[in-house]
Amino acid sequence: MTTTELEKVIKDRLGAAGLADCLDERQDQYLEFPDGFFAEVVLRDGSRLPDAQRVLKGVKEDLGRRGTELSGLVRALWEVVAVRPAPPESGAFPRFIVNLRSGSRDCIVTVDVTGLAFAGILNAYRGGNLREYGNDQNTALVGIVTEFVRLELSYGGESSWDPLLRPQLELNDSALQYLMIHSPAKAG
Amino acid sequence: MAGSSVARGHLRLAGGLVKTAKVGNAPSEYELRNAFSRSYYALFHACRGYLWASGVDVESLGKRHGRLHDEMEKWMGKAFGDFLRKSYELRRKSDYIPEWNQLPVYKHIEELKTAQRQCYFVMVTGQNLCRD
Repeated sequence: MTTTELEKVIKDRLGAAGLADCLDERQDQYLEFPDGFFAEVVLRDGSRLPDAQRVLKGVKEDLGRRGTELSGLVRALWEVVAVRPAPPESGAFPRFIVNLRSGSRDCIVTVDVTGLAFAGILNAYRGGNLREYGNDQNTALVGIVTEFVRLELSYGGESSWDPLLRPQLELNDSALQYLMIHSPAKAG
Repeated sequence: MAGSSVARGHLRLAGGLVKTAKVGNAPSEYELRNAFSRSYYALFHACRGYLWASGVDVESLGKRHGRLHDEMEKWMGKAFGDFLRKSYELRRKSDYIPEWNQLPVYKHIEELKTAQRQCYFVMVTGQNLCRD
């Protein structure tokens, strides 16, 4: 079997399950390794994840019976709908509540800003480096958190983040440093 | 006793490999590829050692990595099984795929540190089982 044949088998089965319309074929991957294949299926609608996972599991089992190993993952594309601060807790660093949407599926995740990252954000704001995100400190914080969540959602493959399985993120100083240099707001 | 001796051998190898899977603050693509490859094999041997020490017939799992991942998931839970599969895919891409995943370096370094922590956890748990 070649990767092209594998891709056809998987896409035919996804099509038969009524999933053709929600596939994002620009981001899917079909790879061949000496010890088997890897497939990554990307959906535009998170509500169809269980259906696509069933299809991939079925293909994996069928290939396994023929001695071909397939591993893979199904993920959805999510967009950030809203970011708001969580009610403050005494002594805690800021936490944000983020609403995500993928097709007809919504989910809520939280982002904790670590102490070092929070100090870094305050310093940058006071130094006038976060004005792209807004005219007050809270707006700048929401802007940075939004950018961070978008960055996490942008990773594909084995580095992808599944907000349904892991609904908590932590914005630490390493991520903040990266955002300060590379974020679209800085570039723009 | 034989199982315990084999377990110790795998755990020793895991300990040696995990030490070579570290990178500095500005690693090259090739240092990262090597580190992902070595950290997966450190985990692989730590898991084999742990299973031997737990009395599992590791030989019966055969040579397919997927069987080892499934067996470890039974012992350590789904999150660990998923983590092991992710490490395996990172290793395969590091070793075989010319196109390199352009993640931020901090993200790569976090993934390597997580792999090292998981590896040490499995190693220490396996070593404790060997002592019992």
